[in-house]
Amino acid sequence: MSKEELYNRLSEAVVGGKPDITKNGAEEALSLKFNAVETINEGLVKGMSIVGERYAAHEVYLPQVLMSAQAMYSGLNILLPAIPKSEMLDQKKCAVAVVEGDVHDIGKNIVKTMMTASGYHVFDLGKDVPITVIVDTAESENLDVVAMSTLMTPTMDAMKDAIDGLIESGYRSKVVVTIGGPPTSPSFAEEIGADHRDENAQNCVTWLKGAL
Amino acid sequence: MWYGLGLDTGGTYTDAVLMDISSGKIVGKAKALTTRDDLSVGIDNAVKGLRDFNGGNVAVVSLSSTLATNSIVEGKGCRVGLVTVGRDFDGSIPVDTCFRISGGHDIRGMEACMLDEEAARASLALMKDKIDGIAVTSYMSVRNPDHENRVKKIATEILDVPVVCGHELSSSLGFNERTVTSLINSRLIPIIKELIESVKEVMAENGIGAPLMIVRGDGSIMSETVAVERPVETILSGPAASLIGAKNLTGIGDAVVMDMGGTTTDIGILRNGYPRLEKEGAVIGGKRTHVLAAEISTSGIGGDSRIVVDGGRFYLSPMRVIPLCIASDKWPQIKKKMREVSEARSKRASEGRSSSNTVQDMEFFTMVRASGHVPLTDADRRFMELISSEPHSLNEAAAKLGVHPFDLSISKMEEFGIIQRIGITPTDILHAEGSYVQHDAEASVCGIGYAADRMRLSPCEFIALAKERIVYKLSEELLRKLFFEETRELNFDRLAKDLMDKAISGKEGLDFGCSVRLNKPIIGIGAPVAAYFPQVAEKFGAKLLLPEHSEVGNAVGAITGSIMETLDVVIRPKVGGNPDDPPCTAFSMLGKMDFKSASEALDCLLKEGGENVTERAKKAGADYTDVKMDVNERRYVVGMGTGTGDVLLEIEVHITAVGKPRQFHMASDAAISEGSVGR
Repeated sequence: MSKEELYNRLSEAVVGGKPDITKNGAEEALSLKFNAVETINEGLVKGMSIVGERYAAHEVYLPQVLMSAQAMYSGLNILLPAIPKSEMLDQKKCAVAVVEGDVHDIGKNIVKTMMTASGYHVFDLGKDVPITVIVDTAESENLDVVAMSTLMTPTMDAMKDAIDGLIESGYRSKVVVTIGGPPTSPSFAEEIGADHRDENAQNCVTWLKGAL
Repeated sequence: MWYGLGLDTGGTYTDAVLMDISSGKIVGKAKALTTRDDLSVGIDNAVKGLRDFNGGNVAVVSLSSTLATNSIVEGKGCRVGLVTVGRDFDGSIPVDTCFRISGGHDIRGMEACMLDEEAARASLALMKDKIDGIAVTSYMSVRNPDHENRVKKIATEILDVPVVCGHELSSSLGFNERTVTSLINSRLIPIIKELIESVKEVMAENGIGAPLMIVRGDGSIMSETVAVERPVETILSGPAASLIGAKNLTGIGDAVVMDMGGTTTDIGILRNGYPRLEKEGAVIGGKRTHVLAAEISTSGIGGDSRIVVDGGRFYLSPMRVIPLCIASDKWPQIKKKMREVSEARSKRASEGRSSSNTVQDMEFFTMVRASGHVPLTDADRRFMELISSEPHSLNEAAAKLGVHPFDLSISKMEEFGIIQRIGITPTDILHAEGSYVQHDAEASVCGIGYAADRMRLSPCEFIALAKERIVYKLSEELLRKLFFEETRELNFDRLAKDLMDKAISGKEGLDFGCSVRLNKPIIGIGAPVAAYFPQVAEKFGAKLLLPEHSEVGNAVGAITGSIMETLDVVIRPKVGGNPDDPPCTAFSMLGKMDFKSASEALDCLLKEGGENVTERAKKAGADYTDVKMDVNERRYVVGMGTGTGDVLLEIEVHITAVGKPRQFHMASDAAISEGSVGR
């Protein structure tokens, strides 16, 4: 099978949400000694960006995105360990978290997917994440980006606490902070001292490319 | 009649002014050279320069000084210990002994980890006799100062040195900056103490028994007792005093203030009668602190900046030299040497060298102080000996010593500050022109004639060129400051530079010209301003104010400053409760406090905060104080678009007590009663 054929098969499987096909395709790529990074970028990521764009354009629904994400991860699980360490050095690091008090993490998971698809090393801190965990991880993992989200109004000011915490620790100037979630807005982001707020994951990734 | 005595020790001059307290009129002024090794000598000379005054009639003395700033830059100060709680200091400035103990709070002021008092006791005991001052900083202490306070209490029990806590100096987030501020503060305490003692000796000698106030970096003043506790707040007080002086000399509260001194030109902005402060905290010696100081841009162009003609071109360098006219006052023989250089020059071809610090034929050297520990070569040592009696040019000295000029390490000796260069300066330009003649103009004329000849210009043409270049440089610095105020951008790209050049030079581009118009007046402070500032103001269509006594503007600012104490409080809502008036936590220097509602928090803090600032202002020497409160409620709209209204994010409360030294009131009262007796 040619490289092109395999890459197309992988990206179509991501778009169609078929985890078995991506898993088999990834294994095949490795057995044919294709470059793992290239396979991720030209196959899985390409498919995921198509889904991201369609979602941003309201052409597909959320469950379809989640299925595509699952397909991408099942391919990534095979390919990521095959990337030599030296190629990972200049990879940007990002943490995603749903802030303390909130457990709604679908949006956060989409952001995680898009960030992974864009080549970030993503630290998924999960949901209901204490402020200190966000602040400490930023410093200990030397993060480039902190992405926070919340669905609910009462938990919004935990984002301000997290940013205040980064200022106290002295790490704020070294990291880009972006936020999301339905109750937030660009003016809220400005008010609490975040760098950016976006309403969808794909646009946020595009913005980050320019910001870093 | 009661007087206030204002003193300012600048980089070059120490100024003194005498103000009649009841009328606010300046009734006497004097200048003396600043004596860097012992500031009190220069202060004494300046005070003695004030004739016809009786020290017994001085009600209050106020001093602004560059001492703290210089000490930090030069790394002076006592041995300092540091105890950090719950976090390591990043070590961005040196510490003599440092311990970290466990403890600290979270961002909401809740205890994150128990304070290890045992460890605190043990570390403090180890520091005994090894330090002269100690700083205690705890993680998140601006949200809860409890751990800092407890360690401070233990420290005062074990050690007999001044203890300062981070939260006492700053209410801003940023553990490292807070620690830097506290460490600098501890280090400066003995230095400021010594200054105060020596100034009080000078005062006593001159029969002045009045209390001494010290100017802060934001232009306000404090009593000597408070200054000894918080010396870090005196940094950058000179420029701040010049802003306050400008305001008081003109009565204008919104203006751009340009202060041209011997070494530098400082540009600051007055808005609503107050200096614009550096919000993030002042940067000293390359380190960001949490000290609130006036935001001033400083550039190396002053009356003593070095002028060089090299390879037929004119250069203005930021290096500070002694003007020829001033040197000639002290060493008249220098004129003969200058004439010799002039005559020798005609036999030699014009050189083409760089504008760097290369020594010029018409430059001389004098000894500032003995070399001490500075490692010198044999030739250097003989050079030092030679110039200790009178100034020599490099060539002259080399010939006498029988060495090649390159054998002498001139730049090294200059860096160590043991020798000082004498050369052509803007001050000489004014002397040669005849517009400002305080010193020996003949020396200036000779130096300028030589420089003009090297550019094949007449002295008049040279003076015109030099003034144009100085005006251009001052205009450029002014625009840089104004653009920075607007955009916070310090690096100018090609476009910005092009527009700036067109605005200053008035040059036309291919299709357009550019002009910049100031919307506020310029106030000029400093001795040489009348020579340059009118042209600067004209370029930008600005009104220029050159108030009387502007040459001693800093000293005026020192004596007209107010006492000011502030308290910053942040009130943050807790989760739950009535969203319109939610339960809140307040964070401030007073500690972490919980309230049932935002309105209750505000009521309580305005009362307690008002009392706190009033009490502190009284300690700082004020009598009647005005308490002003700024309440800034920050709310946000929830982005769902459901129109649920806005939600409280936080309330920032800024409480300020402002007052005049109590001697001002006593003096005015006395004046009134004297008046009534007269009637």
